Amino acid sequence: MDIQETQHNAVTILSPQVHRIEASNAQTFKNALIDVISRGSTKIVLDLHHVDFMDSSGLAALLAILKRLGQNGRIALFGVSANVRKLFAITRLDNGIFAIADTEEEAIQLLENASGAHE
Amino acid sequence: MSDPQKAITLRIESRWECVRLVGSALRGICLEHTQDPEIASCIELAVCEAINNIIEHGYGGESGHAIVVEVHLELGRIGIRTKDTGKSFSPESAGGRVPAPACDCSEIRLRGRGLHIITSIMDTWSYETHSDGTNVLQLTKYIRSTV
Repeated sequence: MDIQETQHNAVTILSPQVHRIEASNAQTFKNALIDVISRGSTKIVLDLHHVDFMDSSGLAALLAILKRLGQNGRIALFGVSANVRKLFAITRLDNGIFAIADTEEEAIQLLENASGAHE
Repeated sequence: MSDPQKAITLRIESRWECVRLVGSALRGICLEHTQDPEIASCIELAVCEAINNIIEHGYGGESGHAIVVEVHLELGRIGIRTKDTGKSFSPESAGGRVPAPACDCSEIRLRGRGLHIITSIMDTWSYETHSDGTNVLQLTKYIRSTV
């Protein structure tokens, strides 16, 4: 899976170049993100603006990443389509589990603020 | 009464790669019928979840089995029926409940949200296993108007 990666200070911004994150590619997606985490990134911003469909397998992959990050890490999302937002709302994962921002800047700020609060 | 001119049957093999084919086709069919992209996308998600469950739980992830999706387009509603011959499940034990939100992400269940998503999106659902071993999941979505 092609995932573009950029760095903004301590925040790693990942942009999956796929339209769908679903059962057929969720494992690949998860492995790609685990690879990034294993290189030391703990603050992850996910740019989902290419993704117009996600199912519960995609959610499970994101939750697995969150668990892998543990208490030291956090994930913020932006570019979330209406369809994907609906999925997060139905499963109640938009309520504090994942930080969902409207812009990249806001997503980065969410993680930097969270970092400041802990330090 | 169902209009036979507005029914379509899709058939796929139990492979993950085939789920998106049904999903994309359904979205197009439902968009044509409702002119409502949100409803079309929601139905796509619900049916993809249903097929994922069939492949994972019914067929144990095995390819080579048939999954049939019948779509009935009627005035004010869309009816969808999935049929498979895999292991049946107990709706009572599955419950369709969303795993409870947890403050600590280490407590969150990774999986088990599919049926909750289906029942949240669709207005009615039923599940039965026929005497010939065919499992039938019937889903209905009511829509305000059709064009």
